[in-house]
Amino acid sequence: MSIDWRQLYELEYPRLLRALTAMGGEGAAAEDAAQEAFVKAHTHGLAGIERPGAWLLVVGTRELFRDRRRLRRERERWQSVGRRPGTAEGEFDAISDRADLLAALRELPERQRGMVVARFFYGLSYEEIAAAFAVKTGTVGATIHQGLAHLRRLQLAGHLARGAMR
Amino acid sequence: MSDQRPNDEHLGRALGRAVESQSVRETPFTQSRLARRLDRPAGRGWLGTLAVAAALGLFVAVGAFFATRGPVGVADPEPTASPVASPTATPGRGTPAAASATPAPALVSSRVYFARDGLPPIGAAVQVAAGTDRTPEQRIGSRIGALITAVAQPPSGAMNIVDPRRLQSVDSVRVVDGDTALIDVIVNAGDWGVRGAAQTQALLQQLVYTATEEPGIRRVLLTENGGKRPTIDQVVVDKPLAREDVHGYVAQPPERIATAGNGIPLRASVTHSVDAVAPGLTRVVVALTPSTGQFGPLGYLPRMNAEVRTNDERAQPTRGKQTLVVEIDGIEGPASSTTVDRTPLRAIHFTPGTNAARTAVYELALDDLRPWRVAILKEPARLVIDVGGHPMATALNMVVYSPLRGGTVTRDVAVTGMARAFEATVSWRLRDSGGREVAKGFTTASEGSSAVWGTYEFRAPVPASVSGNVTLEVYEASARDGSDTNKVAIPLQVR
Repeated sequence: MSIDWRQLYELEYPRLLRALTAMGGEGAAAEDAAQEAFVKAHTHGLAGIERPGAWLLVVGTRELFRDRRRLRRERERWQSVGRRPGTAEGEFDAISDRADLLAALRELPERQRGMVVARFFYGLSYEEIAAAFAVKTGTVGATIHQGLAHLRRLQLAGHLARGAMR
Repeated sequence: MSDQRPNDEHLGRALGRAVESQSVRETPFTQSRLARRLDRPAGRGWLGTLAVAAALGLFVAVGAFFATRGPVGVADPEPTASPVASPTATPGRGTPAAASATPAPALVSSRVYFARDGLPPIGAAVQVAAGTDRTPEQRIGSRIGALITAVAQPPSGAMNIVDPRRLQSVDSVRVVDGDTALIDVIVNAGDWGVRGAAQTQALLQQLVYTATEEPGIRRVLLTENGGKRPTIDQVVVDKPLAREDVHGYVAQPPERIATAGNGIPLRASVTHSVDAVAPGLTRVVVALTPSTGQFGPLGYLPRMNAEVRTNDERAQPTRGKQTLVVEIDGIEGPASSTTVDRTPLRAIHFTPGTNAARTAVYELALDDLRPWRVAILKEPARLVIDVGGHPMATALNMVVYSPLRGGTVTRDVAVTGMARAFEATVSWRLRDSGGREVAKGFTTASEGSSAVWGTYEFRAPVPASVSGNVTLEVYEASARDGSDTNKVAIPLQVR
C-alpha cells in the first residue's frame, strides 16, 4: 500500500466529501462519488494528474451527477434538514440560513454548482477551474456569476418562505 | 482573485463556510475503497468486487440517515416482559432514591417517547421501579433513564435514538420556575451520538417530550457532564426547549374557529383515529343529526367555537398539556370520557350543556400544541377536527393528506387535503426531477379564507413524457402578487 495514496486521501477526502455533499445534498451519494473518484484517480495514475484536488473534485462531481436516480434521496434528505423547529432561536437561525444556502446551491444547474464550489470552497482560480473543467476562462467567470445571482435569488426566496411560515 | 464584485465575494464566502460546516460522516482511509483496492492486486475480478462493495456501501449509507439507530439493545418481542431498570442502571445516579432502591422494586407505570422518521415522537408506556417516582425530579430522571437503559421497547414504526454508549446516565434533575426542568446528563466525551439534523431533532424530541411528560413541566434545559452547555451534533443547546420547539411543525398563532348556527337540538356521535387517515394526523369526527328529524341534512348548522387552551395538569390531570375545547350548541346526551392515549390525543371528554343554548363541550386532551383545523362536511353533517399531519406536508393554511411523501403514484395522482385559501382556490403544479414545471392546475376547496377550513380533492394528471421523480406542489397563489404562499411540496415517484 503506497503511503502517497494515503496522504492524498487524508488531505483531499474530507473537503471532497463536503463539496459533494453540498452539491448533491445527501450523504450516501456524496460518499459513493467521493470513494469512486479516488478509485478512478488510482486507475488513471497519479503521475498523469497535475492538480489532484481539482481533478478529484471534477471527477467526483461527474460521478455524483452521473446517476440521476440519486437525486430523489438527496431531495428528501434536504427537505428534512431545511425546515427547522419554529424556535426562532439564534443558533437555529444560523443553521437554517446555512441550510437555505446549501439548499439553494442544490437548485443550481450542475455546471454552476461545480464551479461555484470549486471557486469558493476549494479556492481555485478561474484559470485552475477552466483547466479542470476543460472550458475557457471567460466561461468560468460567466458561469460563476450566473450561479451566484441565481443563488442569491433562491436563498432570498427560501428565507422569505421560511419567515412567512413562522 | 478579484474577478468578483464585493457582493459576490461575500455570498461566496458564506457559501464556502456553509459547505465547510456541514456534518459529514467521513470514511477513514483504511476503510476506503481506494485502500481495499491497494490491498489487492489489480485484476479482472476486481471490478465485480468493487460493484458489490459500492452497492453495499450505498445501502448502508442510505440507512445511516436514520435507520442505523434502531432500537437499542436486542429487541424483546414481549414489551411488557422487559426487565425493569436494575438499581444500578436506574437513572438519577447519586440521588438517594436510586441508591436505596430495593433489589426487587415494585413497578409503576410511566410514559416515555420514541422517535419516528419525519414525524413527531410517539409516547409508550414503560414500567419503572417504584421509589424512583416520589418527586417530580425523580420521575423525570427515571423516565429519561428508561430511555437510556432501553427498558422500554419502541412501538411499531418508532425507534429509540438514545445511544447508551454516549448518554450514560442522568446526573441530576432540578425543577426551577415551577415549569422548567434542568437536566444534567453524563455524556461520554460530550458526543450525544447523533449525526445530522434529523437525528438531532429526533433525540431532542425524545428527551424533551419524555421529560415534560411530568405534569406542570413545560420546558427542559439540557446540560452535560456537570452543567456544561451541550452541542448536539451541530446544534448548541443553550435555551430551555418546550415540546412546541422540537415537534417539527410550523408554529400556528393562537386562534379561535367559530361558526354561527341555528341552535336546534342535535344528537352527536364521535369517532376518532390517530395516524390512520394520514401519518401524524389525529382526526376526531363529530357526526350530527337533528333530534327532531324535521330538518334536512343542509337545513341546520351548529353554533360552534373551537380553541386550544393551555391546561394546568396539576389541577386537571386528564385534560392533557393542551386542551382543544370545542363548544357546540344543542348537543344532548350524558357526560362521557374516552381514553385514547395515542400521541398526541390522550382522551376525549364530553360535557352536556346546562345553559339555555345547551352548549355542550368536547375537550380533546392533547400532548402538545401542534397545528389544528376544523372543517364542516355536509350530507351527513360532520364536524371534522384535525390535529397535526405530516410536518413536511403542513403549512400555515394548507395541508396535504395524500399522496404520501416519497410514495409511488400512477399517471393520475389523487390529492386530498385541507386549505384556507383566497376564494377557495387551491393551486398545484408538478415539477420533474430537473425542477421544470410539467403540469399545473387548480381546484376549489369547500370553503375559502374563512376560519373554518375547506376540504379539497383533485386528480393531477402526469404527462406521458414524465416519469421517475416528480414533486407535487400544492399552494395558494397570493391574492396580492400571485406568488406561491402556503406551499407544500410532496416528492413522489411516478411508476
